[in-house]
Amino acid sequence: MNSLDDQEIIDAVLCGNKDVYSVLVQRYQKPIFNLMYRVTRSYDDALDLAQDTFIKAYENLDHFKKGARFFPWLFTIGLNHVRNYKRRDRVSVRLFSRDCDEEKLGLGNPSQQEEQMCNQLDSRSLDQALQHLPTDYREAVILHYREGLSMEDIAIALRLSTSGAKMRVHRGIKKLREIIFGDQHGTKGFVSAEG
Amino acid sequence: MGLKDLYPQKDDPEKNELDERDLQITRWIKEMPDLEPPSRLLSSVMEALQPKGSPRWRRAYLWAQTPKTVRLTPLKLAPVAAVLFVAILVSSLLFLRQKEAPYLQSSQERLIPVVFSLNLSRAQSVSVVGNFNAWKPQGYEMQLDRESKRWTLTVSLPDGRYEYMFLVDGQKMILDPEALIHQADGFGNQNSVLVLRRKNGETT
Repeated sequence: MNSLDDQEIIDAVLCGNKDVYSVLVQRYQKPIFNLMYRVTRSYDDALDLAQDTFIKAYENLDHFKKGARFFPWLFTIGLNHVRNYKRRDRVSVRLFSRDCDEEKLGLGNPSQQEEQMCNQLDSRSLDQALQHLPTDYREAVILHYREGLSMEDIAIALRLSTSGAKMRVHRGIKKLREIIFGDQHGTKGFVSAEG
Repeated sequence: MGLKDLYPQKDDPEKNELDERDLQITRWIKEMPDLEPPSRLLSSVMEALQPKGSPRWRRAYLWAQTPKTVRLTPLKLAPVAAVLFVAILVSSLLFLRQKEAPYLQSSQERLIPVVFSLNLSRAQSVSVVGNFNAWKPQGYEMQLDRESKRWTLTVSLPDGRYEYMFLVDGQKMILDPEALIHQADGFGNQNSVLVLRRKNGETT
């Protein structure tokens, strides 16, 4: 059943075969859950929001355009949902994970910041840097370089033109670079320019 | 099957615009570990779903849109081919029959023999044309009777009202001088009129 393509599964679901929807959930739960976690920084909230996203997608499957790509469509639903959630519940984004807050990292103080982070730029600090990016830039960069989506699919997921998607990805990388390494005007980043 | 298999990435056209530091960032992004979603995500989603009541028209629409594979063996095909062959044969025969007698469509109708006659011995040829033959002289050439010196042609027609004229030497149209009725044709000329009606076995 896992070899079925998304459209075949959707057709079967629309014909009343509810159980086959589990294939789509399994296929896309990881990127959707991680999207929610990146935005909320809460495991439980991410779980609830990912669950809601899949349920909403199921309920709106009638409106899915036949022949379109499912994941960008699903991602759009998820992104809208988490934005509404943030707006409605005024959830403040916790920029750092529970065991790594700003004080511990010393990001409030540039000299401390450089001292503590210049020696190691691992995935955790990249994760922290990503949190400084606006959601659209961050998701554009992740969709392209991590999830491997084309610019056309990113454009659909973020409701942009293809050139707009390219711009988001390109600027997202440049902004990350500024945050991590410091910009061209001498601002210090997470790590020294030599890092 | 991962997302990268389902959505293969094309060559990144911007790669050339990125320097080593940007590329380093993109590598970090690629290698960034993902969180595994909790196993209860799948079960909680599936439990929350309500079965979709799919209307018949949607099922029919989806069925019609889905490509179907049809497997045929010569044995299965033979009856279909035979039916098609018979259907084509019958329709061809009907078509040919209609073509042969376009103006006398009902063979069941009883036909009345009508003798058209014209006294014009100096003519080279005479044909009768009318609404019973779509005003076409082909097949309706009259024969000259040497003794009576009259042009004659017998045509079998069903009951009805007919307008006709004689075509002399393939050029000149003349009325039947012996017809009882003439009628304007709407174009400034007149046609001869023949009314055939069978009454109690007699023709009037």
